[in-house]
Amino acid sequence: MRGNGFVSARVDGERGVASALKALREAGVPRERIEVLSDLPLPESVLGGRMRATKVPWWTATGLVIGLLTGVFFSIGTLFLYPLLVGGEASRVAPPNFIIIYELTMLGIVVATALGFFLETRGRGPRRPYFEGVSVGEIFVVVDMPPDLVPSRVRSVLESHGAEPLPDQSETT
Amino acid sequence: MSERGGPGVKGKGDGPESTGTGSTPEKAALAFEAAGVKTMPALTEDDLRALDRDLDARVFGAMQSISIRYLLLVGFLGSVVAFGAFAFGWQIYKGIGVAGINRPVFWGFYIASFVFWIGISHAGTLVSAILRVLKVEWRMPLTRAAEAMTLFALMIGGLFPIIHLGRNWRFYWMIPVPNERGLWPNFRSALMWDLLAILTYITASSLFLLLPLIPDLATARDRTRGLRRRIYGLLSFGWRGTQQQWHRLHVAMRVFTIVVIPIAVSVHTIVSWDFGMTLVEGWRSTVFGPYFVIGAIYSGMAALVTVLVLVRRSLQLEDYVTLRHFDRLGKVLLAVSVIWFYMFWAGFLTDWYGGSTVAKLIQHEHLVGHSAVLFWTMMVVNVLVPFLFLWFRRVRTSMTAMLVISLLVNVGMWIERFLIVTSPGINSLSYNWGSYTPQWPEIAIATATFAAFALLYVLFSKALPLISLWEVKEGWRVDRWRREGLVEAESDVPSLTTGATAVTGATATATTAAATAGSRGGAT
Repeated sequence: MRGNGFVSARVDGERGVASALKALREAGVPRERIEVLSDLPLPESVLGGRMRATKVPWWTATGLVIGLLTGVFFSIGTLFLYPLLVGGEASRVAPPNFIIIYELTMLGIVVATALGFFLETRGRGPRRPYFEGVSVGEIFVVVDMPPDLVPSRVRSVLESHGAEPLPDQSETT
Repeated sequence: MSERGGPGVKGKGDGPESTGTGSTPEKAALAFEAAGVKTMPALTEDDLRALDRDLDARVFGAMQSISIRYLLLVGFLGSVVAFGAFAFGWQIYKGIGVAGINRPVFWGFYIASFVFWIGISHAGTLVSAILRVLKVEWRMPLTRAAEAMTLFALMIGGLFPIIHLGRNWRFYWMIPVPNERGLWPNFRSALMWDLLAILTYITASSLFLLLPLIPDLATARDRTRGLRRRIYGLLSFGWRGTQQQWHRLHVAMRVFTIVVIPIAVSVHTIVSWDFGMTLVEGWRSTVFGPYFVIGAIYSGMAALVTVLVLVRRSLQLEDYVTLRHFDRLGKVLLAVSVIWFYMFWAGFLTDWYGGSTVAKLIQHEHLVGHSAVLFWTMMVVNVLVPFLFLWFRRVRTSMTAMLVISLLVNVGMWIERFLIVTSPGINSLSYNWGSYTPQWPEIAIATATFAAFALLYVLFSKALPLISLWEVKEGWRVDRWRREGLVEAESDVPSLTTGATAVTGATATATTAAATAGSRGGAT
């Protein structure tokens, strides 16, 4: 895929991004095949709408459930695994258990959220183009070429909207 | 072609008044005020790019230069830490009896230091999470330093319960797995609460530091070569700066920002319950939870001021961590000191009016007895000094004054913890009264932890960007995005930032530009 698979261009500022994205969509490039690389997050108005949903909140919810169940197991379940009868004292008490359940639920949330973020950010599939110019404030548009579009056509669309198409010498992270 | 912005996106502020950056912000601000100029000139993308480059150069430059003074400092701090490690080794070899703790004062320097360091750790949460939730924009250059402080303080604080154990090598008994008889640790024990609370907080604060660090690590990756590049590459988790990645980061940070606050509150509340849930006079209190939390925030904020004064000076970040930040931190410190005193007074008066003989004896000991010097020192440095001086802007914007006040506050907060921890010297059995005198291993270990904290910070400043570069840069642009209609509502801004001109470098450039224009006779 790499080499023929991506068309990249350097664009000029936020308005350049907006213009290039609009032209690409009009040329038939699906939105999910376009990436904008920058050293800062850009406003959604520049990107032409809301970003694709992320699965991070689902990871958070999963972590919450796992943490909660772990807390319940530690604080209540282990009592039944090895019941200790301490003379006259209640061995099954609710308030201290809440502390354990609370802390482990929170732990589950933070670990799962971070895990979801890292796994999604790492991503899968072929390595994608990256340009070190991002780190000095340049903005790049990368098009993962759909099979029904010709790269030269996409390059000319980008060029006609002020972008500077780049030769296919992209670095990968 | 300009890197961002360019001719097509210049704002209304383009013009002769928005050029030139030649003065420090403080000097420019003075010139600005002297000229009687009220309206800040708008910043162009070129101004912002100049600021970006300057910020990058300072932060990455500081990371890459290692001076003899730096090495000497690392050597000195390392030596103190090594001596503390030796003292700990001595304690293990000879037994816990080498420490001064004994009946009836079973908790001494170690637990006082434990509570103190857990308190310091609250600065990161307050500055980063609470101010983020409140959409306070001036927090941006401070967050990284505060979050790092949280992590280091927790790493150190978490050691003390282990140091304090009579048989440290049995620590693993607290790991929640059943032993050979199938018996689990007792989760109803306050010791387990501490373990889990600190584990949760240290995990959350590590990740809270790491997540917003990733874009800056990617920048560091692109600016370095060799081994450093490989390490930064690994830590940046394949960050490319795609908008999807930015979106994901913001979603994750929102979760963390919300979750980390109750975690932080719970940690110090649980630490307070180690005392408050006992039947020991002087400890048993319902107000201890919030009192400890506000005390933690107080000492954490003071420690943050200390660290920022030193970091600002040593890394030459005067243009980014400005006097305005200290002005605001000083106001927060003053407010927190008043709340702390209120909480202290609520507990003190309740004990006094309650009429418990032991509680009154402890108070008498503090007010006019053997611990009176410590008690009154605490009251002077924690209450009187902040209240007398922090009202004045001149004090709040004086680095020397802020350094002295913040150090004094932390001395006072340590004393406060020490007085609480050692109060069982007076108890309901008069034949069992006793006092506590720390021994050299305790003093050496407690001192070493301060050196360890400083050492971790010094090493961190060379390894990772101490200012959240992307957050600061983004904050600078919010105003321009507004002017150009790229964002309309707060929800349109990628981060949890609000509008208004950023109070850091953007203002610096604006004031510099105004001063430059003013000096040319063309004030706005």
